[in-house]
Amino acid sequence: MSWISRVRALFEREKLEKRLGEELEFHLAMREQLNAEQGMPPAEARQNALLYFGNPTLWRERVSEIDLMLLPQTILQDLRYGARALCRNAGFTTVAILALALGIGVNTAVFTCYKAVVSRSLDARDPAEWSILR
Amino acid sequence: MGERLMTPSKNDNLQGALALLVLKSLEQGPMHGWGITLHIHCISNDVLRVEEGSLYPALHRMEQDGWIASEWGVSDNNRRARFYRLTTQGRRQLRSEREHWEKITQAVALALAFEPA
Repeated sequence: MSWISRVRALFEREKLEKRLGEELEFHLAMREQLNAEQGMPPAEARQNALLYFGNPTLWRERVSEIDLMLLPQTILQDLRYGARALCRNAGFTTVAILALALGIGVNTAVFTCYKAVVSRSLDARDPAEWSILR
Repeated sequence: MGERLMTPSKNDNLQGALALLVLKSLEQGPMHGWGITLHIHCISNDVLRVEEGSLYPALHRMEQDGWIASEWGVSDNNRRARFYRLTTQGRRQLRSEREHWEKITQAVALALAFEPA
C-alpha cells in the first residue's frame, strides 16, 4: 500500500508543481503586460515585473512546501472516501470480496495439487542417477 | 486542524494583515492572485506594498485551512488562471479576524491618545 501512495504522491507532486509554475507565471506575465502597456520596453517590463514579485524561485519553493503538506492529508481523505464507498455498496463489496477469496483459494488449491502430483521429485534415493529409456 | 479555525491567527505582523486583506478582497467574488494584488493596491492607495510573490504562500496556506477554495478558470484576457473564492468558513474567519484587528487598533489608538494628567 505504502509504495502506491508514494508513487501517487510523486505524480501529484509533479502536477502541483506544474500548476504552481503556471499560476506564478500568470502573475508575472500580467504585470509585464501592464508595464508594456504603460510604455516600457519589453526587457525592462519583465525586469520590473520580477522586481515587484521578488525572487520567483524562492516563492515557488515556499508555496511548494505548503502544498506538499497537503498530500498525506488528501491520501488519508481518499482512503476514507474509498472505505465509505465500499460500506455504502455492501452488495458490491461482498461480491468483490467473495470473488477475490474464491480466486485466491482456487489458485492455491490448484497449485498445491499440481505441486503434489506433477512437480515433485521421484521417490528414489538418488533421482539424478535415473535416466529415461525409450 | 479543527481547533485552529476560529482562533484568530497571529495578527502581530504583516502576514496576518495580508490574510485579512485577502479575505476582504475575496468578499467581492472570485479573483486570481493578480486580481487580488491589483485590488489591494487600489483600495490601499498604494500604501501597503509587499513583494507580490508573498501573496502566494499566504493564498495556498489559507486554502489548506479551508478559508478559501480555488479552481482554474479563464481570465479576462483568455489565459488560464487560478481563481480563489471565499468559503463559508472563510467568511466566518473574516469576521473574527476583523474584530480582532479592530480591537487591537483601537487599543493602540487609546494608548496613543493617553495623556498623563
